[in-house]
Amino acid sequence: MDFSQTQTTGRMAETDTALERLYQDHADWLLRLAVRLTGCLDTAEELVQEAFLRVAQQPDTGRSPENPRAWLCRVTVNLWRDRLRRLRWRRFLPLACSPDLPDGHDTEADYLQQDRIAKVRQALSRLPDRDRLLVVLYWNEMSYAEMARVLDLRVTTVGKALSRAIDRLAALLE
Amino acid sequence: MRCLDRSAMQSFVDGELDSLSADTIRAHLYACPDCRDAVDAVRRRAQTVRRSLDEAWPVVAAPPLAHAVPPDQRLAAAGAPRSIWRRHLQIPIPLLAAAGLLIAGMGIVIWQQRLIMGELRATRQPPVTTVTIAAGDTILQREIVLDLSRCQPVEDTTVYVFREE
Repeated sequence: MDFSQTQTTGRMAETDTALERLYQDHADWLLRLAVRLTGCLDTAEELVQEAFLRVAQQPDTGRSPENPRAWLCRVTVNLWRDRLRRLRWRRFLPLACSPDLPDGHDTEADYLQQDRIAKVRQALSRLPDRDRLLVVLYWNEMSYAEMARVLDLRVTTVGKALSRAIDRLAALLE
Repeated sequence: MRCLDRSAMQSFVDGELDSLSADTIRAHLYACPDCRDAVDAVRRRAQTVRRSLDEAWPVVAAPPLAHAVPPDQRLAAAGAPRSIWRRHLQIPIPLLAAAGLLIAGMGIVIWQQRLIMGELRATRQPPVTTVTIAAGDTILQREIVLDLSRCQPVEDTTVYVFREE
């Protein structure tokens, strides 16, 4: 094995370790965000997979960015936006898939719960894309600074945009 | 202090203000029951929305890394990573370089042409010619500036009326 092969193997091992660490720390959180954003577990898994694949193929994966969570979130959000652009006609169709509803259809309480869940999901999907993104980021415990970075906004305008988005969602939920 | 706007209330509820601003708002809330009620309403609304959303989506867990990003797909080109735009465009670098050089060369030629034409236009002088006029026994030789663009043919001959400058 010559020097360049040793160097490449070493770099791959370093990249794998960095990727494993990133995945361990952020994959669940990112998947939760993607599910809430897309309303579909399968699509969310694809987005997260694609996001980590892109990270893995970056030459500098070994060097962790300043804020990996915001960075991963931004990659995922951009992938989601690309997908939305490609599938604009989806608005005329019902959601193709959605996360499983809780088990149990026996009691009236179960039906009521199912009804409430369907209503919340529908309300979120009816929000404009930017509002939905804001609500989902907020719901995923992101700070205003992180949200601003993902949305290309000034930190000072996040509060205003967020309060408007929450108001719209609350109105849809009423 | 004036009453709070909706944005300030939201930022306050989310703990996004610096300590000085938060203290100022706390002091205002102590004195202003309207703002206090409004901030409580904002807090309740945010909690309700969060609770509803939490209930609507089950907690999901990501699959193992080996399943999500198989090792054979990870940095296949670890030795020769390529940037995103290169992956999408797929244009060879020599071709790009040649195109760049060609465009730069054409630009320089056009620029020089324009420069030369501009200089010509700025320095163009009417032609100078020497006209010899026989007037009796004396031959006058004068240097006359001819500006043919200002000349007008007289009848259908080669005689031109020109003025002396």
